[in-house]
Amino acid sequence: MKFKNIILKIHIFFIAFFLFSCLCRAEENGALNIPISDDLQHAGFLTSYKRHYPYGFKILRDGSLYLVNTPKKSVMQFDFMGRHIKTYSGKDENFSSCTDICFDNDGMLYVASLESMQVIKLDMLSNEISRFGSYGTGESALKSIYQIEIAGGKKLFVQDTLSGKINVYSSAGTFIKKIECNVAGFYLTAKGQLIYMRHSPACGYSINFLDSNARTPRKIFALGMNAVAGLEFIGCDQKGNFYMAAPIGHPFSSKEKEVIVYNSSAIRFSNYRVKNSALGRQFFIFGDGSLYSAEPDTPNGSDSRPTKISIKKY
Amino acid sequence: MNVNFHFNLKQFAVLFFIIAAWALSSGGLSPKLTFGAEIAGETIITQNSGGAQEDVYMAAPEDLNHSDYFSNSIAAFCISDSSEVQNLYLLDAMNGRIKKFTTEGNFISIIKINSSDEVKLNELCGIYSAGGNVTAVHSQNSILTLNSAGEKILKLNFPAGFECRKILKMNEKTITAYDYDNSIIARFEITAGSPELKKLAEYEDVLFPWLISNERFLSCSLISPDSLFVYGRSFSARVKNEAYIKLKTNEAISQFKIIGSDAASNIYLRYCTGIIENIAVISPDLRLIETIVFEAKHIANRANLLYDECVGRDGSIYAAYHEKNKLIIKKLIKK
Repeated sequence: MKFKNIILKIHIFFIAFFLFSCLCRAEENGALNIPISDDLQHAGFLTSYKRHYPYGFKILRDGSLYLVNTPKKSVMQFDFMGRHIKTYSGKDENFSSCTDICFDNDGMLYVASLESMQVIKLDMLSNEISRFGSYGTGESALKSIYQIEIAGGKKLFVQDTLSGKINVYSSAGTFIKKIECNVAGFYLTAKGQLIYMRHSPACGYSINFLDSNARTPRKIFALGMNAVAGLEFIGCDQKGNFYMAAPIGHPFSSKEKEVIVYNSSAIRFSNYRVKNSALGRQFFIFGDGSLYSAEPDTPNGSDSRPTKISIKKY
Repeated sequence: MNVNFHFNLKQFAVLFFIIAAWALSSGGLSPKLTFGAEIAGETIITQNSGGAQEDVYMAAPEDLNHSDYFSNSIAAFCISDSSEVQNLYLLDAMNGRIKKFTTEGNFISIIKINSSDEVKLNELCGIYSAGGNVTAVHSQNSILTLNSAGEKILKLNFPAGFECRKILKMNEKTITAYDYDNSIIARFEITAGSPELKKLAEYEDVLFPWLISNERFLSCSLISPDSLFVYGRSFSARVKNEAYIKLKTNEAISQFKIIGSDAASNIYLRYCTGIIENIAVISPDLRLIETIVFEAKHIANRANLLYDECVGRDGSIYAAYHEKNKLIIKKLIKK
């Protein structure tokens, strides 16, 4: 009788735990599945001293999705229905070790290459037009490239997380200024205003605002959370909400990430758990507040070769 | 008989552990919890958007200076830091005026601020009143003191590198101010005949400080999402083991700040857990006296983090928020 009771209690515990974990998870709403294989039309995957996945993805206003297919030195374009439309590739060096991409208002593609540590501007046919930045330790030089974005006025913002800065270049490639930023990720508003995060050991994280013509940034609000490691800034939606993600547990071994949403009055009004993926930039936030997450599947345990990348909408 | 006794002892032990665990997880049994039902919230001031006497300036979404991230309504709102009769002051900077109200929300007067080369109205961001006839308004770079007719008494400039976001205390000799962007609290000396303020002391890396004496202040820090600390600090001594109080919650904390103090020098620390607003009343020697808990219906409409709440000497809490095209100031008082 006692044994039966214990079994019943264990069952109730697991059912409660399952229901609770379901509640904690965000509602997943459709996915674009991109197969991973050696086929040129598919996403690539390489295993050398570490596992190499596509770096990340971006979604434009028209709903088209661009996957930075780093292992295959190309950028894949999908339409809003998820159909593969085009693959950008060309000179190997332009797409070699490519990280982030962005487009300007003229439809020019900007690709960040870790090999040359430069951002390369390309036309629709992948012909090179100009280059920005260089490798080095100087103010205008870069040691890493995490994210690139183009402001309305065609200023290029390049985040170098290793140096803890965002460099701004003119459309002609001239270095304009450096902005201190030690948290991965930033966001540019339609007016070209920069929103980014900073972390200090004593005060924790803060969200900052830099107007396009201002010299000094303004703090929007302080979040605290001094002891939270590995927080990344995903971006903002049209309502002025801020999205960020933090690993659950140790940053290098966590299997899940917590996506946290604050409104413009600093209220933490939503948080949910998503699978942690090995992509350099896993998340993208669309203007309407939809969160997209790129998650490769790794069947039969994490050491096996993935067969697809699912871009899930939450 | 023995078996039964043993069984009862076991049950008692389990019950004891459950109660102990609950007591520990809820932060102990000693501090009083006051819930929303015991709080009377009364709207004392309502202002429309506009330029008439009953209005305050609010940037409309189509205005060039409208922001999705900063306050579009009041620049600042404060209660006079006076031991006698207290009044509420509302800085309506873009309309070039300060409105004075009683703590019951009755309109008293308007103090006009004249735009000049010295004062750019769109740069004003805060207000301070020590009571009496002198009121101070400030921008990031300077403070302007005015008499009740709106005439300039003094204009004082902060040293370069200090961006004033809030005045914490001001008298004839010194000013203590907070630079929110750089997380610095600093005390300045007013030198007779000079418009430049001289820095006497500063303390870096502080969030939302509150002065409890000339020398000491409290500041808060959210170390992890559920652990909020309030530290007692001193301008002159930086000790590693500062006195502190830790508030532990079951939910993640956001929007935390010290909003004011009452006549007994107890400080009021506001923080949100989800959509629940909590105000912890903490004694100057860092004991938690009471936590006031209520469902915050308007916290999402607050944007001016440094000047939208204050505390009267009697412990009344005043909160300003905007709702559609109206500015509302509410008074919260314990029944």
